[in-house]
Amino acid sequence: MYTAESIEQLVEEFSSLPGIGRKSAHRLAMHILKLPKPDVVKIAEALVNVKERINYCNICWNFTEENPCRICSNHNRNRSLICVVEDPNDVIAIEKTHEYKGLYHVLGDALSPLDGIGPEDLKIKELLHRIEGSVQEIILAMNASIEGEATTIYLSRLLKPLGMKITRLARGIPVGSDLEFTDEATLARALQSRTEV
Amino acid sequence: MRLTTLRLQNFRNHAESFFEFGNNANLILGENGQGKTNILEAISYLCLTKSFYASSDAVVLRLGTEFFEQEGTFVSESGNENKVRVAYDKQQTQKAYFINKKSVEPFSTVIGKFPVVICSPEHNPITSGGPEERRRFADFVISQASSVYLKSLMEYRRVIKQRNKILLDARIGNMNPSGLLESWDEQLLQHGATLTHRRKLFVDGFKNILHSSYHELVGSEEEPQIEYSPFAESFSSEDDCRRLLKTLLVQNRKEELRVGSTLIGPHRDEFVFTVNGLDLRKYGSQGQHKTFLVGLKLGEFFYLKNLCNETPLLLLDDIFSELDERRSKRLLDFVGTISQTFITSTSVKWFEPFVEFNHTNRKFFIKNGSVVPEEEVIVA
Repeated sequence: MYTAESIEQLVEEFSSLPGIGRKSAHRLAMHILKLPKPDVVKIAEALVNVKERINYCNICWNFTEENPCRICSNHNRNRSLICVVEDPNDVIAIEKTHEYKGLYHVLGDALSPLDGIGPEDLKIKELLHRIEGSVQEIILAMNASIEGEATTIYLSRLLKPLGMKITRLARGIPVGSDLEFTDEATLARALQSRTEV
Repeated sequence: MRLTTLRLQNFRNHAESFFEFGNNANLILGENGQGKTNILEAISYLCLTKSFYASSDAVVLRLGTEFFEQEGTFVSESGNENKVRVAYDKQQTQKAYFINKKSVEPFSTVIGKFPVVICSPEHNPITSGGPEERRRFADFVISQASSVYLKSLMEYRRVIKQRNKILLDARIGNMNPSGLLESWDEQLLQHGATLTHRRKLFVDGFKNILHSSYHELVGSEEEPQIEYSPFAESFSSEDDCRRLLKTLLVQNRKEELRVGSTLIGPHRDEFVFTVNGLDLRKYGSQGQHKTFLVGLKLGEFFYLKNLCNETPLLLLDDIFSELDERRSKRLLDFVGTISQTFITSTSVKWFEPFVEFNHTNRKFFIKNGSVVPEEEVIVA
């Protein structure tokens, strides 16, 4: 060890974060060391605050500071429509469109036996519990990966018998892009699910 | 397409080498361990961004140096010139690929731009090894023609892995995973049927190409054949194939749970190679294996040529040592006329009677990682 123990410890902590290797961790630690103390306290407080204040919404399992979250407690939203997504980032992505006025349900992940993620690790029980009321349609908006696809199939088998409408996002060519630059697999999928005009 | 020049720096045992290649046959001659195959390997870097057999970029770096570089000039059939450079830095363990000084990323976009067919002893297992070697060959050739196939293949492999994990967990934990398995079955059926159907179409077309390539080497006295044997005897369409796969999947569920892995699907396919009706793997001689391999590679060459509208380069690494004189001569006569070809050999004696060396057919003598005049090399 060429540095002090507290620096080593900080490097260790940083490098445990996703996307940060030992070199970057070292650079971050050195940066922290050079900062004035109030700035470092600000960072530390932000870290602790996020952990203390942010919780999961008891209804949709999105991140929130209030419980239930602002979307779930907003009475102007269409409460008969639930969009099921894999994680909170997906909620942000759909909210940015300003086109969706229904509610959400965040599963937390997608089925992946290789990573040890089974149905009991997703918020599926919670979803089933929620839809006992007046829900008319459930939109399955998983990622276009094989894990997302397996989750879609699993959920649709589970939800179909309950009687409400089950839909999924369409797959095709990104809006505003040229056909010639669309990757072949996407184009092939778009051809398969072409629609009549 | 032709490769007109090649420059190597700190690559394997080459400190600094430069070549101006002929348009037809290029013989690379020298004793064992002098650096002949390294030149083919460098061409592979330019065409495919990687070596055709080294496990990593670090191992091809010349000992004691910090970076390697290859630079080549490709001239297309229409006369377009492209300067390609590959550079690797040991400190950053990073490789960069440039076409006309512009960095290209991701590397997968390079595949198919500068088509190449390589035949080396590394490929011997295609005819002599297990079924996975033949599946890999077929997948590699079809993937170059269809990125839809490649995508399907990659997703299929992952589905199998996920599904096998469920089966294995179920076996260990002694539980019934049926609801879970069915979530993956849908994708297994979809990709499984696509792959099987496309492999069948590929083999149907490839048979004729193989036939004519093989005959160029040996005449009509030997009949080569390639048979595809998937899980189902016959099927008429992709949908039909999917139905059959589904039935078999249901039938085999118990057995799959017992062994803990997926037993039906294109990951268990076999391609059977025969010569005169006899299974090559069981009855073929060394020379027949080599001939068949060269036939497959020439088949790959014509298959690619049809698809790319650009004639691939042909790299033949040490393949004449196992062919008899007649087959060698036929091969040499043939390859020089179809493409720019790069051939390594320990001895010039194979070639001197057949090849007239001039500006289109060239020979290079390699000694200790350098190009040297012929007199300096004692060639038996």
